[in-house]
Amino acid sequence: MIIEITIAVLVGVIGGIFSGLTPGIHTNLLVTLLFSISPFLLAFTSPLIISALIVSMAITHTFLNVLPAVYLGAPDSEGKILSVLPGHRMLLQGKGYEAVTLTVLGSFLAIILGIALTPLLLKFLPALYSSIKNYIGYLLVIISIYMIFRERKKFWAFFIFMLAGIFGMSVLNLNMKEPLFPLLSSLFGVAGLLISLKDNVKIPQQLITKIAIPKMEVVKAMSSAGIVGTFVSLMPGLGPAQAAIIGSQIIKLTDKGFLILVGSLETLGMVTSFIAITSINKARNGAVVAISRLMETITQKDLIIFLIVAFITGLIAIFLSLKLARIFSSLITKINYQKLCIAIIVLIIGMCFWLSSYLGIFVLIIGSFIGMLPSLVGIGKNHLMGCLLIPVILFFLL
Amino acid sequence: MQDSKLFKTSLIISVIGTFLILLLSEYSEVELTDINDLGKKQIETMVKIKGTVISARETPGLYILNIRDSASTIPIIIFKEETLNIERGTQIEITGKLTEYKNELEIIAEEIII
Repeated sequence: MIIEITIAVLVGVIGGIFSGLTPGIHTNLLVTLLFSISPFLLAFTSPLIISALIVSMAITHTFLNVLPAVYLGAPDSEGKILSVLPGHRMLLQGKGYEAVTLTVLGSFLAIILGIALTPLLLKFLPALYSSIKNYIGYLLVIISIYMIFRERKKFWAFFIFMLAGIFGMSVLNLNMKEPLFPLLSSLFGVAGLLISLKDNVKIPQQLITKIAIPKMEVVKAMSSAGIVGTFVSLMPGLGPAQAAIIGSQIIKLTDKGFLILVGSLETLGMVTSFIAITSINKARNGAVVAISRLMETITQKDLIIFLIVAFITGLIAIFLSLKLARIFSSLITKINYQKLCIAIIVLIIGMCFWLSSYLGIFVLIIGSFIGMLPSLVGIGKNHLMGCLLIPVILFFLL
Repeated sequence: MQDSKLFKTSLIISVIGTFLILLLSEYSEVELTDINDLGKKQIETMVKIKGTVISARETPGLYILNIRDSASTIPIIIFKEETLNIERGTQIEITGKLTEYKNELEIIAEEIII
């Protein structure tokens, strides 16, 4: 079985590299594809091995997706420094490699934290979930209002949150294949790339030096991740961006600490979702849904295997991320950034047409304009998550 | 393009576009279909069926029901968000995405009316 799991981990890592590095591709898309061919795979292997492959792919994705997030879609920071994400801010200071290092460090520490918290979560998650499950909708409303009120431009934050919400709800109600692809890749992918094109961004020479890890920031970020990550794993619709904002309000962090927190929350969210399916029978993402279908029952022994797979994958993924960040850092100033952005937009349009046809292209166009609004107004892009939060809130409240 | 001009253009297209997509979603109501009429052409699209629950089982995270109408049966996959108390013989209407697993059609439920 060890050889089979090793092969599954390696194949999963390859899948995770592809989905993590391609903007707009979510693990769920690859998981759906893998799930559709699983009857064929099951002729050669067991559901546990395919599940291990899914775990490895999902974990690798949470490490590798920081690379396009940092190196692509950076706006011109002049005059609107507050609305620029810390990763982009560091890239524009020539510190893209440092931003990736801090984020993947957070991701790796999150796996260790997740494993350390497993006995506690298995014991207390059911009680915690049953005490909040009737209030999930209200809690999400409170978090959304808090996000809006912390902005200087409250009206625009509210407007964009609501617009994204109506847009998301309408798109999810359209009879269209793969609605999440045009929805998310337009709001969070194409929009950022268009802003980069508009600003005619010039990426400065990137420094690849030994990074001094801010130990106190690591401790603060991981403490915050432990508190917020557990809570967020119970709340559908909330992403790492919102969780990181909540976390950084609980414990004040610098840009470096914030990056460690973002990386840790994304990976911790994935790790705790494996624990959540075992302890509270709730599937919080596509990877866990597929595992739940394949395995039918998930024992604590299976969970231990998943956590070991996650740890080994994390070791491979941290090495890969840093290696790729070095390559990206040296390439990004040599290639034409504008042409790169255009090429990625064309790739997303092609994939969108393939997956969701003409209707998907229409959604992609409208979503791209909505996605540009936060940068043009000068508020955080996290309000665009209204596209998923409002449908989830309505699901719980109505 | 200047930022203010781009902002106005984006705002107008966003509002009108969202309104159009909202209208499209309102008018693209899924029609009730016989299970027998469901085919591979409809895979990944929304379908609506009505029938009787003939069996129900659970996995961690999911309920899996088998629904029969006048002529055929189909498995229904439901994500566990709330406890679902459905017994055999219950009449049920399901709207959801048609998918294929192990060469069989199944519906991932999005709306359940009992």
